Amino acid sequence: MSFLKLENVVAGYEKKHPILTGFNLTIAQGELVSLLGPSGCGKTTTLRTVAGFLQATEGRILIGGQDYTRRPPHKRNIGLVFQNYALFPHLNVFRNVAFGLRMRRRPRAEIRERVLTALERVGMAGFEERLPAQLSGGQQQRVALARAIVIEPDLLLLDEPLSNLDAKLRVEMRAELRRLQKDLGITMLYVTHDQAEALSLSDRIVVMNSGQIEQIGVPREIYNRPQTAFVARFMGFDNHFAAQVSAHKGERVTVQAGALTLEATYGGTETLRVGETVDVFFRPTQARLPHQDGPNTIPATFEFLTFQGDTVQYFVETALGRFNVITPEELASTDTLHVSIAPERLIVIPHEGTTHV
Amino acid sequence: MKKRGPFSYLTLALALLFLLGPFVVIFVASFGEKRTLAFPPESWSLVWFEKVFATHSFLEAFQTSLVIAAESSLTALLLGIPAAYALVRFKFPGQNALEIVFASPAIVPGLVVGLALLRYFVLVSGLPVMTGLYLGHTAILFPYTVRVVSGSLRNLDPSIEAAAVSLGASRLRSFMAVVLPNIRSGILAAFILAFITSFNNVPISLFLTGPGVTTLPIRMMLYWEYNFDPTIAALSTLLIVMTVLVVQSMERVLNVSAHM
Repeated sequence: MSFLKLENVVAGYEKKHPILTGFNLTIAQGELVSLLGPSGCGKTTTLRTVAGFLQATEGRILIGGQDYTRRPPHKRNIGLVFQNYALFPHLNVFRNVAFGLRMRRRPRAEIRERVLTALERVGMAGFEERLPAQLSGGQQQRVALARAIVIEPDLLLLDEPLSNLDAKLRVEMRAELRRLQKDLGITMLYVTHDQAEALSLSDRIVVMNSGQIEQIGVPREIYNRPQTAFVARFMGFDNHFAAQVSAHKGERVTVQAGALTLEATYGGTETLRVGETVDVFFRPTQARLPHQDGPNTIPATFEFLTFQGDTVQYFVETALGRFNVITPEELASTDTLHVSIAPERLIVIPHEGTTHV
Repeated sequence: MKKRGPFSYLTLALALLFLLGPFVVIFVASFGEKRTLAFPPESWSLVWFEKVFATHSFLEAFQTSLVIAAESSLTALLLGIPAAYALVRFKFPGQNALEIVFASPAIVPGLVVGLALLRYFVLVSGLPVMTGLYLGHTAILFPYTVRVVSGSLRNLDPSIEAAAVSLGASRLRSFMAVVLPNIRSGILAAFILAFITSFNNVPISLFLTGPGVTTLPIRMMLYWEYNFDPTIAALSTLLIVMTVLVVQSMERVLNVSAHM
């Protein structure tokens, strides 16, 4: 069932150059969907349009079947959580969380009960009297979360909510956010540029680039089967070379790259033509050194390495270009090297600009 | 921290002398007993302070100045807050030009020409002198209030307004509930600055004062033309002390000087 639906939405800051040009997205009730992409890709624009701070100049926004396109932002019942927390500096924690309920003119006793429950949920019980300036970043974000969920919003929008926290806390908060979302069954639209965050939190990920959706899928699909070169690069498929299709059957594709014949995987829906040029991608962590191993082996010569603690990153030169490969152990010898990649880890993507019928 | 050399202390001393010297001279001279202004005085007395309070025209002008300063500062603030908000939060054509005008109240003396015209208007239309003064002062204070209030608005994270709106507050309501309380000290700073600017103003008042109505600085100038006794020094000392006390007490309540 679609709960939030964006239909051909056109929106942006300058009328002549909208950022979203006919944007379509459907989210089910209780789903957590991430908008993932680099800065400037239109993910925050999408969020602001759903929140009502940006007016869609064309298209429709539906929530629960109702048309929200022209509804002013303060009548949308949508919770918002910001990267910089955006707590009211002059109000204590209790009054920050109570703000939405006071705007809704709820009775005092009810406000008190609901605020305390919300604070309890985010682990901030006992902090009611503190001012935001007296809290750490993580604590402020918990309060901001309580403030957003206490109004029981139809939809919760989160704009890079964990980006200002340190790495360890970020990982902790991810899990907590996910648990809270499951417990409350709340529908969330989550904006992030952090791949790991999107992968660990989301039911589905929408990868965006220049205001367009590159790919929508569950985290495993996005991670393992990118369908465009942009998604592949963004999701960490750092190694890339061009090849020609020599055979194609279902997911399995045989490609010719120079003198090498390689077995690769294709996740797209369009049929590939024999002889067409494709881009082939693989991850540094999903290739192996140094021996011949399996069907796809590429002879390589050692260039240099960087030691990274848990892993070692090797840069090697091959007939197909320079690759980097991350291995758990440092190699005993780098005299004769081969880069080996399992066929299901070698991803074929149609070359950009190639049209398919 | 780097250690300061003797040269920097010398510079500091010169700067202080330059800034505070005139005040010290006036302050000391106001306690002289002789009929002519002398520094340092040969004998000491409070007689000139007594004379300030005994001179009816000073008291009257002081009252006029207070009323004009209070009224025009408040009005400039009431106009300046929404103007500052619009400048900081919205984008509209002509914004850059407006910002340049408000960025430097030093440009404002150009307004004197306009106010000279207002004077003409006052004469022709028979507008009361107090009204003319009030309008003129409001006009010169407006850029100050806009500038100071914009400063504190720029320091306020716009997303807290978005947060308030998402929680169900209308734009107006979120302005009242979230923006105003957080720019309180900026507003107070703007008021003090505007008040002092109005209170000390000479050029605008010079054009707009009329028969029977004079502001204190103008009254002081007129007095000085015919009398060379230390009354003016005593009055200046009183004004300096008053200003310092007001700013000090405000400073203690709110961190006002950070906004000026």
